[in-house]
Amino acid sequence: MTETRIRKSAPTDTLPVMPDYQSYYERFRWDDAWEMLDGLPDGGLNIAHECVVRHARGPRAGQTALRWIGAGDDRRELTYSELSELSDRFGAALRNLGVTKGSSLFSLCGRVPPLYIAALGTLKIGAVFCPLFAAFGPEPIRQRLQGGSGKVLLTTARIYREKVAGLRDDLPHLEHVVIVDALGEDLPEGTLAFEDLLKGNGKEFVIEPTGREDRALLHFTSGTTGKPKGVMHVHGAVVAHHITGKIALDFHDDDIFWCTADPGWVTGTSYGILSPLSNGLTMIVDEAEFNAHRWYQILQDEEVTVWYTAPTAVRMLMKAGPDVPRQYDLSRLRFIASVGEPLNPEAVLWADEVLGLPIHDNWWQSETGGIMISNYASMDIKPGSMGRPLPGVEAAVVERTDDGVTVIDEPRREGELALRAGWPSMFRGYLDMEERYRSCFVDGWYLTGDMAQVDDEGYFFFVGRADDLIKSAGHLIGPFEVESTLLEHEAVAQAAVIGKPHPTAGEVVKAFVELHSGFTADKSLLRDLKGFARQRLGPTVAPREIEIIDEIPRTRSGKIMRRLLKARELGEPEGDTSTLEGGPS
Amino acid sequence: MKSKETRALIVDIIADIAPEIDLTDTTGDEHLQETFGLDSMDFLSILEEIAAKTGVDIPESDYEEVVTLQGMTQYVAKRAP
Repeated sequence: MTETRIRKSAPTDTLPVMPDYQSYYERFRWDDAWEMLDGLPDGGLNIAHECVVRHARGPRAGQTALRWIGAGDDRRELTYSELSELSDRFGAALRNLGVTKGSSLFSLCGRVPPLYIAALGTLKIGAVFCPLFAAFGPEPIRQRLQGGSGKVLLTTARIYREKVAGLRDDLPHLEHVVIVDALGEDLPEGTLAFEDLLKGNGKEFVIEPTGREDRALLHFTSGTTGKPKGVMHVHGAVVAHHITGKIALDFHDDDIFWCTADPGWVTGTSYGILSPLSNGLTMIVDEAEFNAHRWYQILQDEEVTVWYTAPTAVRMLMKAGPDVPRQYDLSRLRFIASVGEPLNPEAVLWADEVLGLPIHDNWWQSETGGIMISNYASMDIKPGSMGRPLPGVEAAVVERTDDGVTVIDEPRREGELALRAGWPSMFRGYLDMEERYRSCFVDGWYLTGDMAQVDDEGYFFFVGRADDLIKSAGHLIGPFEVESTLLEHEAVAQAAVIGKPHPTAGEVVKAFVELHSGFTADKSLLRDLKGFARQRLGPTVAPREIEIIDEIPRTRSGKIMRRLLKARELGEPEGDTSTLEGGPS
Repeated sequence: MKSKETRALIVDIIADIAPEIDLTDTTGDEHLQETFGLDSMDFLSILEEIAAKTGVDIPESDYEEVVTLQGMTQYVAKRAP
């Protein structure tokens, strides 16, 4: 692993929210974070109240909460006051339809303003919000709506006609379908228009008196095997959304924040809706998909100050070349963070050189509800490290034993990443999988299923998913280290590494690589790549086999689907591919 | 098989398995694993490829004879059709 270090010298104009990690960590109490929230008048707590109602009643009422950039030329701005009023109206309309506390609303549409209004309206009446990716095909939609007993579905006319109408008989719980982009006779039969629902009066609306432990969010996450798991979160999670925005993403009051993730992925909800709103920021929502020029243009024109994105996107920006960002003025940008997959060291250094700012990698999962381990504005970065545990979070590398777990004290020894159970945004269950949920907790630790190391300064390093680790000739090899090295080669744009069964070694390392444009897949390049990896990693860890493919399969959230590559390699069934980018629909 | 031909074939096989090794200026007497840092998996892969391309199987009892490029070449050249 590269031992380069990006030093954080004296801060620039803006002092980090957390000026010193160590002392902040030692002083931090969750009670202090709860104090930053408003709470409901009767002592309850509701995420939507914290996100919009309190700001709509205060000095931020007229400030832009959501600045939406359409895929075409459309733009729309909603102030905190408007967003709160519209979500009141939507909540009131849901109540009129008989939707009550504990029911669930699923969204299945692109990043359009109604999605954000509906999410907040749903939370306001104490119903559960469950965002899905618009690109899902009928089968994953059916599976999730059935599993989560979806009572209301928010979608578009086209998606409804193509993917949902034919499923209605299989979905007895689905009572209402709300269409975001059609009215009157354009409306599919048996559906309601979002615009019509907003015509009602929301003035008398009273928020549901929810409490910290009431269910609020449902996120489906693809398992390595079997069917997707429904991860359940409660209203109390908002305290973590709030404080992690401040500490890990360095949110300041006047920040303009862009989280590029879709709400169909947990990041796009926790940090693409809830955290920036709870902190009273102006958030940017771009409806369009990735495009290097468009993204730099948005960073420039919208004067984005804090930007939260994903490694796949960063690598695609790298692929577009350093001359593209030079055409834009990115001087307003102050802080960049990344999540989804570990960020390879080269990408961190690339950003530092080309964008003038390093990228702060952080780590969390659907199950943790918010950022748990992170690089911070005030802390030196060791490229390749996910950073250090969030204040309020105790993390360790552990080893499973016959009668529990043992914490590994030795620096740099691999083990499973574990978090001391009990942080506020911890998931409260897997839908209908109680046993599976319980098995995640041992001796008071939540076992994450990720393998990691911690160095002598307390920095955590991702090694791989426990399921992705390669056991070759007695060695345990993490795919990330091999992928990071391959990515340092000038020809490689993306890399994915799996363990391929081998009669002698158990498994051998096999790498799949996607090339930058301008490079040709031939024998001499393959040899060059292999030699490059072997010189850096040694023969034991370097790939024994390299295959050049057109596209590395990834989930829509940007995670490499090693499981799928392995299944293809072995000629086995591909399993659940509902989250595959560009996959079956 | 001619010795020169055999040597070229083995050099090509090694270049596939361990391309970082430069065998152009070697005498052929160097111990492949000790001098060039090949591990035992590399060594086995080389022997497998030789078997696949020439039909010559090298049993474990003969490994001592094929630890160098020169030894390997002679061993294979003698037995390959």
